[in-house]
Amino acid sequence: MIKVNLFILTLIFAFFGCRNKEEKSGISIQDIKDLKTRQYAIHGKVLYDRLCANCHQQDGTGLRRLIPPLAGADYLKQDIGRTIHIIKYGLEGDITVNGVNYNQPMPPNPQLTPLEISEIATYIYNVWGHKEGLITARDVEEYFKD
Amino acid sequence: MSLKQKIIVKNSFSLFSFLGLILFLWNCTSKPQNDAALPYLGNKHTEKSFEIDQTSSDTVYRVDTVYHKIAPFSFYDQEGNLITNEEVEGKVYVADFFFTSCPTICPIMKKQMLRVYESYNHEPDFKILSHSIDPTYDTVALLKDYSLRLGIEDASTWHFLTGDKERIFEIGQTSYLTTAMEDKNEPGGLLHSGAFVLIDQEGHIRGVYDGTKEEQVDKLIADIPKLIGKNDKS
Repeated sequence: MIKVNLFILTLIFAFFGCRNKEEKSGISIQDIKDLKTRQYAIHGKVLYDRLCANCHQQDGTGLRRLIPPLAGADYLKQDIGRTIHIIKYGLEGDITVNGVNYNQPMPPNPQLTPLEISEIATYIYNVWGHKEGLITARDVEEYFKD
Repeated sequence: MSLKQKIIVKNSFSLFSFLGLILFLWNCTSKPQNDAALPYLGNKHTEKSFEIDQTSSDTVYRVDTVYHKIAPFSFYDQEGNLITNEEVEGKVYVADFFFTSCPTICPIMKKQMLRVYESYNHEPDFKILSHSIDPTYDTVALLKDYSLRLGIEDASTWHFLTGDKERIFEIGQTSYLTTAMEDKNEPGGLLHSGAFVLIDQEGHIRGVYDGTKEEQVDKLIADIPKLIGKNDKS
Protein backbone atom coordinates (compact mmCIF):
# COMPACT_ATOMS: atom_id res chain seq x y z
CA MET A 1 0.00 0.00 0.00
CA ILE A 2 2.79 2.39 0.92
CA LYS A 3 4.39 1.67 -2.44
CA VAL A 4 1.17 2.57 -4.26
CA ASN A 5 0.86 5.85 -2.38
CA LEU A 6 4.48 6.64 -3.08
CA PHE A 7 3.89 5.90 -6.73
CA ILE A 8 0.89 8.21 -6.92
CA LEU A 9 2.77 10.94 -5.08
CA THR A 10 5.67 10.65 -7.47
CA LEU A 11 3.32 10.94 -10.41
CA ILE A 12 1.70 14.04 -8.95
CA PHE A 13 5.10 15.60 -8.46
CA ALA A 14 6.12 14.54 -11.94
CA PHE A 15 3.31 16.46 -13.55
CA PHE A 16 2.96 19.44 -11.28
CA GLY A 17 6.32 19.78 -9.60
CA CYS A 18 7.98 23.16 -10.05
CA ARG A 19 5.36 24.36 -12.50
CA ASN A 20 4.12 27.29 -10.49
CA LYS A 21 7.34 29.29 -10.60
CA GLU A 22 5.94 31.96 -12.89
CA GLU A 23 3.30 33.15 -10.45
CA LYS A 24 3.57 36.92 -10.39
CA SER A 25 3.93 38.54 -7.04
CA GLY A 26 0.38 39.81 -6.75
CA ILE A 27 -0.12 43.49 -6.13
CA SER A 28 -2.47 43.82 -3.25
CA ILE A 29 -5.69 44.78 -5.06
CA GLN A 30 -7.25 41.64 -3.63
CA ASP A 31 -6.35 42.82 -0.14
CA ILE A 32 -8.59 45.86 -0.45
CA LYS A 33 -11.49 45.07 1.85
CA ASP A 34 -14.04 47.66 0.72
CA LEU A 35 -15.84 46.42 -2.40
CA LYS A 36 -16.34 49.82 -4.03
CA THR A 37 -12.74 50.82 -3.41
CA ARG A 38 -11.64 47.53 -4.92
CA GLN A 39 -13.82 48.05 -8.00
CA TYR A 40 -12.36 51.52 -8.53
CA ALA A 41 -8.87 50.11 -8.06
CA ILE A 42 -9.45 47.33 -10.59
CA HIS A 43 -10.56 49.86 -13.24
CA GLY A 44 -7.75 52.13 -12.14
CA LYS A 45 -5.18 49.40 -12.68
CA VAL A 46 -6.30 48.92 -16.28
CA LEU A 47 -5.86 52.66 -16.93
CA TYR A 48 -2.62 52.75 -14.97
CA ASP A 49 -1.10 49.87 -16.93
CA ARG A 50 -2.00 51.62 -20.18
CA LEU A 51 -1.12 55.23 -19.34
CA CYS A 52 1.36 55.25 -16.48
CA ALA A 53 3.21 51.93 -16.29
CA ASN A 54 5.52 52.70 -19.22
CA CYS A 55 7.35 55.16 -17.03
CA HIS A 56 6.40 54.42 -13.42
CA GLN A 57 6.50 50.67 -14.15
CA GLN A 58 3.79 48.13 -13.44
CA ASP A 59 4.93 47.69 -9.88
CA GLY A 60 5.17 51.45 -9.26
CA THR A 61 8.90 51.38 -8.57
CA GLY A 62 9.88 53.97 -11.21
CA LEU A 63 13.26 53.92 -12.92
CA ARG A 64 16.43 54.66 -11.00
CA ARG A 65 16.87 58.43 -10.49
CA LEU A 66 15.06 59.16 -13.74
CA ILE A 67 11.45 58.37 -12.94
CA PRO A 68 10.18 58.66 -9.38
CA PRO A 69 8.51 55.68 -7.68
CA LEU A 70 4.88 55.76 -6.61
CA ALA A 71 5.30 52.71 -4.39
CA GLY A 72 5.96 53.89 -0.86
CA ALA A 73 6.46 57.45 -2.08
CA ASP A 74 6.29 60.20 0.54
CA TYR A 75 5.47 62.64 -2.27
CA LEU A 76 2.15 60.82 -2.81
CA LYS A 77 1.32 60.69 0.89
CA GLN A 78 1.94 64.42 1.36
CA ASP A 79 -0.83 65.69 -0.88
CA ILE A 80 -3.56 63.79 -2.74
CA GLY A 81 -4.83 66.95 -4.46
CA ARG A 82 -1.40 67.63 -5.92
CA THR A 83 -1.25 64.07 -7.31
CA ILE A 84 -4.70 64.49 -8.90
CA HIS A 85 -3.50 67.71 -10.56
CA ILE A 86 -0.32 66.06 -11.84
CA ILE A 87 -2.24 63.13 -13.36
CA LYS A 88 -4.28 65.53 -15.48
CA TYR A 89 -1.89 68.43 -16.13
CA GLY A 90 1.50 66.73 -16.02
CA LEU A 91 4.54 68.11 -14.27
CA GLU A 92 7.72 69.97 -15.12
CA GLY A 93 10.73 70.90 -13.06
CA ASP A 94 12.48 69.03 -10.32
CA ILE A 95 10.87 67.30 -7.36
CA THR A 96 12.16 65.29 -4.40
CA VAL A 97 10.67 61.89 -3.69
CA ASN A 98 11.90 59.87 -0.69
CA GLY A 99 14.94 62.12 -0.53
CA VAL A 100 15.94 61.66 -4.18
CA ASN A 101 15.86 64.42 -6.78
CA TYR A 102 14.00 63.78 -10.04
CA ASN A 103 13.73 66.07 -13.04
CA GLN A 104 11.95 64.38 -15.90
CA PRO A 105 8.87 66.10 -17.33
CA MET A 106 5.62 64.14 -17.04
CA PRO A 107 3.21 64.60 -19.94
CA PRO A 108 -0.36 65.77 -19.24
CA ASN A 109 -3.43 63.55 -19.73
CA PRO A 110 -6.13 66.11 -20.59
CA GLN A 111 -8.45 63.45 -22.00
CA LEU A 112 -9.05 61.80 -18.61
CA THR A 113 -12.49 62.25 -17.00
CA PRO A 114 -12.87 62.89 -13.24
CA LEU A 115 -14.10 59.30 -12.87
CA GLU A 116 -11.08 57.87 -14.64
CA ILE A 117 -8.74 60.02 -12.55
CA SER A 118 -10.49 58.88 -9.39
CA GLU A 119 -10.06 55.25 -10.44
CA ILE A 120 -6.33 55.71 -11.11
CA ALA A 121 -5.92 57.62 -7.85
CA THR A 122 -7.85 54.97 -5.90
CA TYR A 123 -5.58 52.33 -7.39
CA ILE A 124 -2.24 54.00 -6.69
CA TYR A 125 -3.38 55.11 -3.23
CA ASN A 126 -4.41 51.62 -2.11
CA VAL A 127 -1.55 49.42 -3.24
CA TRP A 128 2.25 49.48 -2.75
CA GLY A 129 2.06 50.48 0.87
CA HIS A 130 -0.61 53.18 0.54
CA LYS A 131 -4.00 52.85 2.26
CA GLU A 132 -6.00 56.00 1.56
CA GLY A 133 -9.30 54.30 0.72
CA LEU A 134 -11.76 55.33 -1.95
CA ILE A 135 -11.19 58.54 -3.93
CA THR A 136 -14.42 59.39 -5.74
CA ALA A 137 -15.03 61.38 -8.91
CA ARG A 138 -16.64 64.04 -6.72
CA ASP A 139 -13.45 64.25 -4.62
CA VAL A 140 -11.50 64.73 -7.85
CA GLU A 141 -13.80 67.56 -8.97
CA GLU A 142 -13.39 69.21 -5.54
CA TYR A 143 -9.61 69.03 -5.87
CA PHE A 144 -9.82 70.73 -9.27
CA LYS A 145 -11.88 73.59 -7.80
CA ASP A 146 -9.12 74.51 -5.36
CA MET B 1 -2.60 -13.41 -6.70
CA SER B 2 0.29 -15.77 -7.22
CA LEU B 3 3.73 -14.86 -6.06
CA LYS B 4 4.85 -14.42 -9.63
CA GLN B 5 2.06 -11.92 -10.39
CA LYS B 6 2.88 -10.06 -7.19
CA ILE B 7 6.48 -9.69 -8.26
CA ILE B 8 5.44 -8.42 -11.69
CA VAL B 9 3.05 -5.87 -10.14
CA LYS B 10 5.70 -4.78 -7.67
CA ASN B 11 8.27 -4.44 -10.43
CA SER B 12 6.00 -2.43 -12.68
CA PHE B 13 5.27 -0.07 -9.79
CA SER B 14 8.97 0.43 -9.28
CA LEU B 15 9.38 0.99 -12.98
CA PHE B 16 6.59 3.57 -13.05
CA SER B 17 7.97 5.29 -10.00
CA PHE B 18 11.32 5.42 -11.71
CA LEU B 19 9.83 6.87 -14.89
CA GLY B 20 7.88 9.33 -12.79
CA LEU B 21 11.08 10.39 -11.09
CA ILE B 22 12.72 10.98 -14.46
CA LEU B 23 9.76 13.07 -15.61
CA PHE B 24 9.94 14.99 -12.34
CA LEU B 25 13.60 15.78 -12.80
CA TRP B 26 13.04 16.77 -16.41
CA ASN B 27 10.28 19.14 -15.37
CA CYS B 28 12.37 20.71 -12.70
CA THR B 29 15.67 21.23 -14.44
CA SER B 30 15.90 24.28 -16.65
CA LYS B 31 16.02 23.32 -20.28
CA PRO B 32 19.39 23.96 -21.89
CA GLN B 33 19.57 27.04 -24.08
CA ASN B 34 19.56 26.56 -27.79
CA ASP B 35 23.19 26.67 -28.82
CA ALA B 36 22.61 27.09 -32.54
CA ALA B 37 24.72 29.78 -34.17
CA LEU B 38 22.96 33.10 -34.69
CA PRO B 39 21.74 33.91 -38.20
CA TYR B 40 22.89 36.80 -40.37
CA LEU B 41 19.94 39.14 -40.83
CA GLY B 42 19.17 41.57 -43.62
CA ASN B 43 19.73 41.34 -47.33
CA LYS B 44 22.69 39.39 -48.53
CA HIS B 45 24.09 38.95 -51.98
CA THR B 46 26.85 36.94 -53.55
CA GLU B 47 29.85 38.43 -55.24
CA LYS B 48 31.77 36.49 -57.81
CA SER B 49 35.40 37.13 -58.32
CA PHE B 50 38.18 35.32 -60.11
CA GLU B 51 41.90 35.31 -60.13
CA ILE B 52 44.56 33.65 -62.21
CA ASP B 53 46.41 30.95 -60.38
CA GLN B 54 50.13 31.80 -60.59
CA THR B 55 51.46 28.27 -61.00
CA SER B 56 48.92 26.56 -63.23
CA SER B 57 47.64 29.79 -64.85
CA ASP B 58 44.08 28.46 -64.49
CA THR B 59 41.28 30.85 -63.71
CA VAL B 60 40.02 30.29 -60.15
CA TYR B 61 36.47 31.46 -59.47
CA ARG B 62 35.32 32.46 -56.02
CA VAL B 63 31.82 33.16 -54.72
CA ASP B 64 31.56 35.23 -51.55
CA THR B 65 28.40 35.87 -49.61
CA VAL B 66 28.23 39.54 -48.66
CA TYR B 67 26.04 40.16 -45.61
CA HIS B 68 24.16 43.31 -44.74
CA LYS B 69 26.52 45.59 -42.82
CA ILE B 70 26.12 48.66 -40.62
CA ALA B 71 27.27 51.71 -42.59
CA PRO B 72 30.04 53.97 -41.21
CA PHE B 73 28.76 56.53 -38.71
CA SER B 74 30.02 59.29 -36.48
CA PHE B 75 28.08 60.63 -33.49
CA TYR B 76 28.85 62.18 -30.08
CA ASP B 77 28.29 60.36 -26.80
CA GLN B 78 27.32 61.71 -23.36
CA GLU B 79 30.95 62.60 -22.61
CA GLY B 80 31.25 64.57 -25.85
CA ASN B 81 33.53 61.93 -27.39
CA LEU B 82 33.27 61.33 -31.10
CA ILE B 83 32.08 57.75 -31.53
CA THR B 84 32.53 56.20 -34.96
CA ASN B 85 32.23 52.69 -36.31
CA GLU B 86 35.93 52.26 -35.45
CA GLU B 87 34.95 52.33 -31.77
CA VAL B 88 32.87 49.15 -32.20
CA GLU B 89 35.10 47.39 -34.69
CA GLY B 90 35.90 43.92 -33.38
CA LYS B 91 33.30 44.33 -30.66
CA VAL B 92 29.83 42.97 -30.08
CA TYR B 93 27.24 45.65 -29.45
CA VAL B 94 23.54 46.27 -28.98
CA ALA B 95 21.94 49.31 -30.64
CA ASP B 96 18.62 50.97 -29.90
CA PHE B 97 16.78 54.23 -30.58
CA PHE B 98 15.09 56.44 -27.99
CA PHE B 99 14.73 60.02 -26.80
CA THR B 100 14.95 61.32 -23.25
CA SER B 101 11.57 63.08 -23.23
CA CYS B 102 9.80 60.01 -24.62
CA PRO B 103 6.51 59.42 -22.83
CA THR B 104 5.85 55.95 -24.25
CA ILE B 105 8.08 52.89 -24.45
CA CYS B 106 11.53 54.37 -23.72
CA PRO B 107 11.58 53.96 -19.93
CA ILE B 108 10.66 50.28 -20.31
CA MET B 109 13.38 49.85 -22.94
CA LYS B 110 15.90 51.52 -20.67
CA LYS B 111 14.88 49.32 -17.76
CA GLN B 112 15.44 46.26 -19.95
CA MET B 113 18.69 47.64 -21.41
CA LEU B 114 19.95 48.09 -17.84
CA ARG B 115 19.64 44.31 -17.44
CA VAL B 116 21.79 43.82 -20.55
CA TYR B 117 24.26 46.40 -19.24
CA GLU B 118 24.49 44.79 -15.83
CA SER B 119 25.07 41.37 -17.39
CA TYR B 120 27.95 42.43 -19.64
CA ASN B 121 29.42 45.79 -18.59
CA HIS B 122 32.56 43.96 -17.38
CA GLU B 123 33.20 42.65 -20.91
CA PRO B 124 35.83 44.82 -22.63
CA ASP B 125 34.57 43.78 -26.05
CA PHE B 126 30.93 44.62 -25.47
CA LYS B 127 29.15 47.92 -26.00
CA ILE B 128 25.71 49.48 -26.08
CA LEU B 129 24.84 52.34 -28.44
CA SER B 130 21.61 54.18 -27.62
CA HIS B 131 20.84 56.70 -30.37
CA SER B 132 18.70 59.72 -29.58
CA ILE B 133 16.19 60.42 -32.32
CA ASP B 134 15.59 63.89 -30.85
CA PRO B 135 19.20 65.08 -31.01
CA THR B 136 18.37 68.79 -31.07
CA TYR B 137 16.80 68.52 -27.61
CA ASP B 138 19.02 65.67 -26.38
CA THR B 139 22.32 67.51 -26.19
CA VAL B 140 25.54 65.98 -24.88
CA ALA B 141 24.93 67.62 -21.48
CA LEU B 142 21.35 66.34 -21.29
CA LEU B 143 22.40 62.82 -22.22
CA LYS B 144 25.09 62.99 -19.53
CA ASP B 145 22.47 63.91 -16.93
CA TYR B 146 20.11 61.22 -18.23
CA SER B 147 22.77 58.50 -18.13
CA LEU B 148 23.88 59.49 -14.61
CA ARG B 149 20.29 59.36 -13.38
CA LEU B 150 20.06 55.93 -14.94
CA GLY B 151 23.10 54.92 -12.91
CA ILE B 152 25.58 54.78 -15.78
CA GLU B 153 28.63 56.46 -14.26
CA ASP B 154 30.90 56.50 -17.29
CA ALA B 155 30.72 55.93 -21.03
CA SER B 156 33.10 52.96 -21.15
CA THR B 157 30.36 50.50 -22.17
CA TRP B 158 27.11 52.35 -22.75
CA HIS B 159 27.21 55.30 -25.15
CA PHE B 160 24.19 57.60 -25.43
CA LEU B 161 24.56 59.13 -28.88
CA THR B 162 23.47 62.40 -30.39
CA GLY B 163 24.37 64.06 -33.65
CA ASP B 164 22.88 65.01 -37.00
CA LYS B 165 19.20 64.08 -36.97
CA GLU B 166 19.05 63.00 -40.60
CA ARG B 167 22.11 60.77 -40.15
CA ILE B 168 20.53 59.13 -37.10
CA PHE B 169 17.23 58.49 -38.88
CA GLU B 170 19.12 57.20 -41.90
CA ILE B 171 21.32 54.77 -39.99
CA GLY B 172 18.28 53.58 -38.06
CA GLN B 173 16.32 52.79 -41.16
CA THR B 174 18.94 51.64 -43.63
CA SER B 175 21.58 50.08 -41.38
CA TYR B 176 19.77 48.81 -38.29
CA LEU B 177 16.57 48.15 -40.31
CA THR B 178 14.41 49.63 -37.60
CA THR B 179 11.86 52.44 -37.48
CA ALA B 180 13.04 55.87 -36.40
CA MET B 181 11.28 58.93 -37.79
CA GLU B 182 9.25 62.02 -37.03
CA ASP B 183 5.51 61.50 -36.72
CA LYS B 184 3.22 64.28 -35.60
CA ASN B 185 0.56 61.78 -34.54
CA GLU B 186 2.79 60.08 -31.98
CA PRO B 187 3.02 61.25 -28.37
CA GLY B 188 6.28 63.20 -28.27
CA GLY B 189 6.17 63.70 -32.05
CA LEU B 190 8.57 60.90 -32.84
CA LEU B 191 8.05 57.32 -33.86
CA HIS B 192 10.51 54.56 -33.17
CA SER B 193 10.47 50.85 -32.68
CA GLY B 194 11.46 49.27 -29.39
CA ALA B 195 13.98 47.01 -31.09
CA PHE B 196 17.33 46.03 -29.60
CA VAL B 197 19.62 45.15 -32.50
CA LEU B 198 22.55 42.80 -31.85
CA ILE B 199 25.63 43.49 -33.99
CA ASP B 200 28.69 41.28 -34.28
CA GLN B 201 32.41 42.14 -34.49
CA GLU B 202 32.17 42.75 -38.24
CA GLY B 203 29.11 44.98 -38.23
CA HIS B 204 26.53 42.37 -39.23
CA ILE B 205 23.07 42.16 -37.67
CA ARG B 206 22.79 38.88 -35.74
CA GLY B 207 19.56 39.39 -33.84
CA VAL B 208 16.61 41.72 -33.34
CA TYR B 209 14.73 41.69 -30.03
CA ASP B 210 11.74 43.57 -28.67
CA GLY B 211 13.27 45.76 -25.97
CA THR B 212 9.94 46.19 -24.23
CA LYS B 213 9.48 42.47 -23.54
CA GLU B 214 11.32 40.79 -20.71
CA GLU B 215 11.43 37.33 -22.36
CA GLN B 216 12.90 38.77 -25.56
CA VAL B 217 15.60 40.55 -23.58
CA ASP B 218 16.31 37.28 -21.72
CA LYS B 219 16.98 35.77 -25.13
CA LEU B 220 19.27 38.65 -26.09
CA ILE B 221 21.22 38.21 -22.85
CA ALA B 222 21.56 34.50 -23.65
CA ASP B 223 22.60 35.18 -27.26
CA ILE B 224 25.41 37.68 -26.58
CA PRO B 225 27.92 35.03 -25.36
CA LYS B 226 27.43 33.18 -28.65
CA LEU B 227 29.22 36.10 -30.33
CA ILE B 228 31.65 37.35 -27.70
CA GLY B 229 35.01 35.61 -27.93
CA LYS B 230 34.20 34.23 -31.37
CA ASN B 231 35.99 36.57 -33.70
CA ASP B 232 36.12 34.26 -36.70
CA LYS B 233 33.33 34.03 -39.19
CA SER B 234 31.90 30.51 -39.11
